[in-house]
Amino acid sequence: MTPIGFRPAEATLQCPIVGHCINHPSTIDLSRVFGAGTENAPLPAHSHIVDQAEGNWWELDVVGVKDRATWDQIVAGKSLATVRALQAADPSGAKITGDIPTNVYLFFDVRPGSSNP
Amino acid sequence: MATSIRNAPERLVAAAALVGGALVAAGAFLPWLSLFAGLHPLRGVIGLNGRLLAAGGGVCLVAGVRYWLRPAPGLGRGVAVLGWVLTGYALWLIVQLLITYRELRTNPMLVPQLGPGLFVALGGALAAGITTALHGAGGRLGGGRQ
Repeated sequence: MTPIGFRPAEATLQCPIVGHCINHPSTIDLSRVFGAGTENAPLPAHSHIVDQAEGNWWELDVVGVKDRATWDQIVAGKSLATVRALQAADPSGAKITGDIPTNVYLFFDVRPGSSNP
Repeated sequence: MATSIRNAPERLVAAAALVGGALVAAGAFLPWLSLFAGLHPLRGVIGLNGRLLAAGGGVCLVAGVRYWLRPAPGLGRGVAVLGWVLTGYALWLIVQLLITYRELRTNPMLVPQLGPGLFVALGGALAAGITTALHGAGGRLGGGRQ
């Protein structure tokens, strides 16, 4: 889940701070192509919805959220069903995009915990 | 508005400089790369290289306007040189872009995609450089015809 054009509250993000997200940094060095000033380009804030908790190959889809109200509804719902309902209610994609497919697959296993949002 | 353009090659050179410069500048403002499957565009002007490219495109565009209003052999040669310099710069940046893209793809969470910006800029630089060199060589730029 990627917010577009606004910054959600950090408490609602899984990856706003170094160490709060698996397997990627909070900044990336883009200076090879963009030049000076982009050595520590911040990675966009985002969050994840996992619809299959057991260890398996997860197919990764990207969804863009375009306003804070829609983001807050997803945070409250905490489920893929909430995302699907919002997508269905917004066929033009004014508030939330459809699933943007990727060819990325991740192999993870989710265990109960209390430290991550 | 009266112009001093006298023949088709001069018009072509001026137009190529104008359009080519505009494309180079526009390419600097377009995304060169995006993260999260296109949702987070990274435009060229976020860094020094994009700003330099935009400035070069702007100079090319202004030179095209100036050449349209008052053609001069030196100015035409200058546009040709600038076009080829911008072409080389854009090509070098595309190589750097492809290296960066390959590196970012190794991290599955980033979902990078190439953007159109640098390719648009390269097209503009080539248009300015090739057109000016080809049509300028037989006209005023070569100094053989008035």
